[in-house]
Amino acid sequence: MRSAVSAILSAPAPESNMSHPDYRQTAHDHAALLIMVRHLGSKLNTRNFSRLYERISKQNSFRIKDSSGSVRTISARFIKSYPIENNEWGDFQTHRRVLGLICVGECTNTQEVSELSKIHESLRSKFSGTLYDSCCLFLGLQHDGTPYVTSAVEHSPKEKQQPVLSKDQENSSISSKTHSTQAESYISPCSDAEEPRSSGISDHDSFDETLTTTNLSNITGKVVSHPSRTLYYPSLDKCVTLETDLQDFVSSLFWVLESKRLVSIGNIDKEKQPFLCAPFERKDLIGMDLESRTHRKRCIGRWRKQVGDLSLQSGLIAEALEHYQAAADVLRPANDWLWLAGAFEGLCAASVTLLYPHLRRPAAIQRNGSLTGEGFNGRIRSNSSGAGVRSLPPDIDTHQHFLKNRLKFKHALGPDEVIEKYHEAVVHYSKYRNAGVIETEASIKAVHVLIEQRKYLSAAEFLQNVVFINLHLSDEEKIQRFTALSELYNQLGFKRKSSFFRRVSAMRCVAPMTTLQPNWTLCYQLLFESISGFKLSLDPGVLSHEHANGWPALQVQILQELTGTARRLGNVPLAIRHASLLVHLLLIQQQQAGAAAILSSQEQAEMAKQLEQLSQRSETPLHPGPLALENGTIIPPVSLTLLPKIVSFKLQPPGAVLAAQRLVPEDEINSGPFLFTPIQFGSFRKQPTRKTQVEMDFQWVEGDRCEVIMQVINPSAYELRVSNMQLLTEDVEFEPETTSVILPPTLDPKTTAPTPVTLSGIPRKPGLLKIVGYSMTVLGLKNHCKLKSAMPFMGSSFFSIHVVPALPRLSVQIASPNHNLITTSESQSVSAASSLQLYAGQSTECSLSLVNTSDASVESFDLELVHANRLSSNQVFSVSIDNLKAQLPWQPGTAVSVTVYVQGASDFLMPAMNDCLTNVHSADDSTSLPSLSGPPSIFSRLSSHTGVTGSPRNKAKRAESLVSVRSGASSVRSGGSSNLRATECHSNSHIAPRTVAALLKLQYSGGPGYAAGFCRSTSVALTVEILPSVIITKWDVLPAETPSHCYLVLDILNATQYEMELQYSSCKHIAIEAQDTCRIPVPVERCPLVKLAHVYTENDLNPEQQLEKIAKICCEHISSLVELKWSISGVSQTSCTSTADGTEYNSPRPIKGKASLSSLRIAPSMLDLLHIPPIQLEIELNQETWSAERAEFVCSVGDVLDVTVNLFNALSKFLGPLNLQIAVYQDLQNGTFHRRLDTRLLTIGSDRALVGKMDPNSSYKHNCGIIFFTPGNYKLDVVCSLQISTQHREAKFNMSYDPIHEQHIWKFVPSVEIIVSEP
Amino acid sequence: MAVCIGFIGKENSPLFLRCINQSQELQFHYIMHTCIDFVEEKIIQSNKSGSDVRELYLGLLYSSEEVKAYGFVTNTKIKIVIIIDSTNSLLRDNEIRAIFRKLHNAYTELVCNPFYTPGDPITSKSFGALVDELLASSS
Amino acid sequence: MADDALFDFLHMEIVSHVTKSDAGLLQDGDEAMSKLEQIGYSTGYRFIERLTKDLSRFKDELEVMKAICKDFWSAVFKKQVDNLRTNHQGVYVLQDNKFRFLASISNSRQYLELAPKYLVFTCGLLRGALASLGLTCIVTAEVTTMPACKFQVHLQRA
Repeated sequence: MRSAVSAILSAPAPESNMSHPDYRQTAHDHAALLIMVRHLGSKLNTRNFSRLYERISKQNSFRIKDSSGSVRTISARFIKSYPIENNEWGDFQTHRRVLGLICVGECTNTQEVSELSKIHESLRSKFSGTLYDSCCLFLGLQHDGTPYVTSAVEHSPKEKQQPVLSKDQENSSISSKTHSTQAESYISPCSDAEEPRSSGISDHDSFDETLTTTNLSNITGKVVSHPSRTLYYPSLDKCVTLETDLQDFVSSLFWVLESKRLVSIGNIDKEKQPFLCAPFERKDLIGMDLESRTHRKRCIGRWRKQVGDLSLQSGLIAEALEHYQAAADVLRPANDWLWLAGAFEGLCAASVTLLYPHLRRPAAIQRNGSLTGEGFNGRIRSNSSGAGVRSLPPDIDTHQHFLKNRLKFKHALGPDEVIEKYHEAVVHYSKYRNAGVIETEASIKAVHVLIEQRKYLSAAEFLQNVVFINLHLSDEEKIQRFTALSELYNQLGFKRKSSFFRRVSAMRCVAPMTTLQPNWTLCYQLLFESISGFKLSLDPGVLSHEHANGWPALQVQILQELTGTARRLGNVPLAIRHASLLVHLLLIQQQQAGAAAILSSQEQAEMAKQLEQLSQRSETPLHPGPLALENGTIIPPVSLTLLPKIVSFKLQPPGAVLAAQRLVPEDEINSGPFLFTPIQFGSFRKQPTRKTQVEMDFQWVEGDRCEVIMQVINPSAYELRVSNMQLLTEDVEFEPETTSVILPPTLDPKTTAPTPVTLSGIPRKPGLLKIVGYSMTVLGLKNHCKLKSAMPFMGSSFFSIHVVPALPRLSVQIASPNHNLITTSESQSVSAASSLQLYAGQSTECSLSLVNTSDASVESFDLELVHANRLSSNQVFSVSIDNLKAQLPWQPGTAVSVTVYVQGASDFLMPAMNDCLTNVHSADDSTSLPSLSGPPSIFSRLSSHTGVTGSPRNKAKRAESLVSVRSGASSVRSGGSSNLRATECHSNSHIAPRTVAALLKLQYSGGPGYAAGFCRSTSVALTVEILPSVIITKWDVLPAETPSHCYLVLDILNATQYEMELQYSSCKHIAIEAQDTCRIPVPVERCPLVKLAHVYTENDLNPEQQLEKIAKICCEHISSLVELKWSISGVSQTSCTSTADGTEYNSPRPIKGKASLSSLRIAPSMLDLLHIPPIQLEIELNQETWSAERAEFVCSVGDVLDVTVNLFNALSKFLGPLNLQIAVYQDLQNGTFHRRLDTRLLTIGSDRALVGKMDPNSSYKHNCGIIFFTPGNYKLDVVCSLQISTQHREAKFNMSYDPIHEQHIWKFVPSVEIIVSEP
Repeated sequence: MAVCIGFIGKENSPLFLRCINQSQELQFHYIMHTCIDFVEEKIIQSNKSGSDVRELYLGLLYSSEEVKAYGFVTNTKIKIVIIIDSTNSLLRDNEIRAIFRKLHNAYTELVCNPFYTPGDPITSKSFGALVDELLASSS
Repeated sequence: MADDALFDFLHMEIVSHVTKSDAGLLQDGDEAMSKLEQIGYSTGYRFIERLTKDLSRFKDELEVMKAICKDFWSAVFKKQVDNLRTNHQGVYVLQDNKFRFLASISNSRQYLELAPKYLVFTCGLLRGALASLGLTCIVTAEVTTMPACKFQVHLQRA
């Protein structure tokens, strides 16, 4: 629209151009009478004034009967102030003239009245050029001007003061016909010119001529010096007649206007009209050819236009249109662009009043608040179309409207023509720099129309044009201008543009170059209004969702500006609010990819620093609640939930030791020592994501310290000091503890691992505790971070957890005498763990000391041993707590102790004993032969015994001693081999210590928690490593010298690393080197028959079972008799004792232990020696009973030695078949026996007997004789063997080849020694 | 000569902005931002009023003494704005159209990049390079 | 033509992969469905960008739907939608009498219960495309006899 010619056509020096654009002017104002309402004096407070003003301006359209009797609609525009310069443009556009002046004041007495009247007068004179009429409006006085409150005494001075008025009072009655309503409230200006007019209303015919003649001069005369009128009202709410008065005032204005109009019309045809011109044109008159035709045309045209203005104002639209059109037609050829434009604008104005009559009112309403920014509320498109009065879309409606008009007003413009004309007008205006204001206003009027037409784009174009018009404006006016633009853009719905200009004007307020000192308050207000356009919300919650649509760069900018402004305002809390929002926003943006580019990390650090400084500046710590400004706007709180960023937020179950559990666990899984296993934690962890309202599956305990572990990340590239973090809770009294953490700067967001922070606190009451968030101080700001904002992904606004009533707590320590104290670890399920080392057979005791550290007393206590590995650790551990229970309840502080006995139980056999045993079986007793290094006496006996009681193989060829010898030899080999195997099986396994573990589970409760059915359980893990001490590698049973005893021969291995002292019977000791084996014979009483008689008598047993039973009995028998007491010294386990002088020395204490034989497995063949046989043998030699006490029996060569054997069955059950035999042999003392003695002796009678069966308690006698041929030492053995009874035979496995077999072999011990001497 | 090119997302969030000299960037941000108003209005108008101007090119959005802004909107409501220096109007309308077409192609290519999620700010280097090239060539 | 068979196979595989990967529980089945739908969504969202590159600007939603039926459908399935119906309240029904993904499955009611998972992807595709064009909607599919198939688009008016 701008054209380059503008400079040429307009005068350079704009001294008198009106520099006060009225941005609120609308097309309708062209038709309005401009009335200024002024506030006089200080008595009337502004509130009342504005109330009054509202009331006045509400009534802006008046219906007045004109002289022709037809009703005209006159609209008035009320304004509070009006720059006189604008008045000067009154010739150009008459609606710019102030026609009426209403001064409003309040006064109680007459001198005040006079004072105010003076001011009024001065005002009047100021605008006298244009004023048609004015009036004063005084509150606080009676209608007749008497003081409202005081008595009538004070009338007199007033009367004197204003004689004119009093004089006028009586002849006002004449005009009372019209003004009867407000006769007394209003003093007529008693102009004689009015008289015919008022009368003329009654009779029309006389009207015209009266006017056309003399009256004109009168009227003009009156206009110059028209007297003022005064209205009195008692008070604001007592001025009922105000409206009617107003009506009257306006009508008086109208009449003057009307007369002027008529005059002007009259002038049109006259030769000479005054040359009307705009203020800046005046000086161009000099040197202008006033006679030229163009000038003449201009005169006419301009005059025509003014007539148009007047007619428009006086409500004659049709005429107005006509005149404007005419004017335009004249002016165009005269190239009088300015006035042509004026004419066009007039046309438009007139047409608009026709097209959009409704526009006026909403505009009027809009006007009130438009500049205060209150009107800055979203798009007003809807109510711009007449506040939705009309259902039809405007264009259609107005079109019909328009067609209707076309008939009445032929010059009226259609909607689009209006815009064209406006456009044209603006173009023409733009040619004159001094008409800038007019142009601006014209454009804005056009915009209003366009908004109505919903042609926002072209509206925007007009506005754009307005921006370019360069006016010489003061800074306030510039600000005003931008604000107005912003307002208009807002009405267009161009929010962003609007915000843009808001911001621009805001910046203007504080621009350095301005003459006025910066107005930060206004600046802040404008900025504040602009934020919506940048899609910026001050509520971080909203922001985090919707900021995405906004422009980060601009948002950051505006926030920075807001912060700065707030700081300049000295409103530190506000500045902090904005600054922290800025920091928050930056963090949000940082989360979007690329958005971080808005500010570099160090810039962000700057922001943070700035914020920190601010927060330090604020003398009072800023409370994190919402912040209210003076103008009532609330700034929502900003909590830096992203600083640091919360990754996870986990409630921690109390350590299993402190965990509360139900006394009667509903399901067994939950009970037991390992209630809270990591796996279950895992399940807890998952739940928050799933459930919306997260409830924990564990409880916290009142009075106990509870923890929440947060994983936090420092999103920023600067070090973050987060201080006094603490939990925010609800519903249950909770005593939070504050923690602080310093997070190092994050350089690479991808790689940084979250830092755990533990927030703890102590619940003070039982119940359902809600954890809603946490509070912390970061960058010097206190923040309340709600979970739902801090971690929206959680999907819940809080965690809730049950707090159970207080429970006592025990601290558990376990100590064992010779081991130092064992760690007490509360964290995991085991409160204490003890591990000790014992040698097999050693025994010790640990003391478990319990201290009630809580202030509740322990009322119930229970303890049970849970065996970790099923191996009979109950042999190892034993504990009794009966006496403890007796002591219950344990008051706070009491300490009790439980003793746990630990026994190094072991079977003292080679670990791999089984296979050793088997090979002992296979090789039979003879295995022991070579390895045995016992006293020779035993040796011989044993050998002989072997000879007889060989394995079936040997047995078969028992007669040939050769074979037997060979068998012996063979057995040596086998023995050796077995021995070998034995050694290897202990060499590879004897070291291995055995560990036994058990768990002492303690369950205790007390206090309110006990009542509520909760308890605590803690457990102590005990592990014992049992080192091998004594190991019995091999054993055997040998006959003793007396039938009542036998020897238990043991090969003992000292498996320790130390020399061992072994006591294997009351008086026998032996020292064994470490890792050394040695053989000890332990004399044992044979197992008396009574112990196992029943085994024999039971007949439903097969031989194997029988053997087992016997073995068992015998085993018990020996283990009861034999006890191997060992002791090792020089072991490192020592106890330190310090002497008086303080020097410490170690006193080695020997470790003592016992090895029991309970687990020996005894071969069947040993059994017969181990117990007293049921068949008792008795030998008589030459009729004298032989007894073991006897040393030897002497007889001489050639004599017959008579041998009698008596068998006696001691059982109450028959036995048989029995096989008795008597054998004589020579012991060569070298391990071999000589049995082939046929050449040396002769047996008379049979040396054997087979007894079918022996009845209980019966006896049997066998007799034979022996003759020795050669002297020497002989031995005599008597062996009675029990045959396998037939019914069992088939049951035996290896008997197929051998019909006969012994089940038991009983031998008379000791063998008889016979010395044969020469006769 | 084009001085600034910007991409604006469906919800009018900035996707990408590149201008010749960085010092003016913020200023261009403001211009772009206000351009959205015009774009939206233009779309509404052209859809509402039966006008069958159906091309994606929106023409001149805004002009001031310094700069002119031209607009382009894809069917998926992605707005592209080119700001040219109005002091020299070397660029004809069809040249501008050509640039827009190139930019649009570039964008559709970008969308096929698995590492670009539509709606996010554009960080792709190759894309940036392409825009720079266009800026350079048009000036 | 092998080349568009390729697309079918890929689709087949995606379906089987997604549904198999968590065929455990029932709701996992739903998860699989939504996963497929998601795949379709993002595909459509990106694809439409390219497709509409050279089309003139759409005036209203009806034009958009037409474009979907013609250009979009033929671009994806090498055929146009056979029938488009609307109630002018934002509900559109696109009928394809020989829906590509079902054509090879059966031409009767056989496997009818298995049909859904071969439609989910396309639902997502539609939803994505429309979303990208600025129309948020819910897309549901229904099959009475294969290979015919109806997609119902229910636009969410803001």
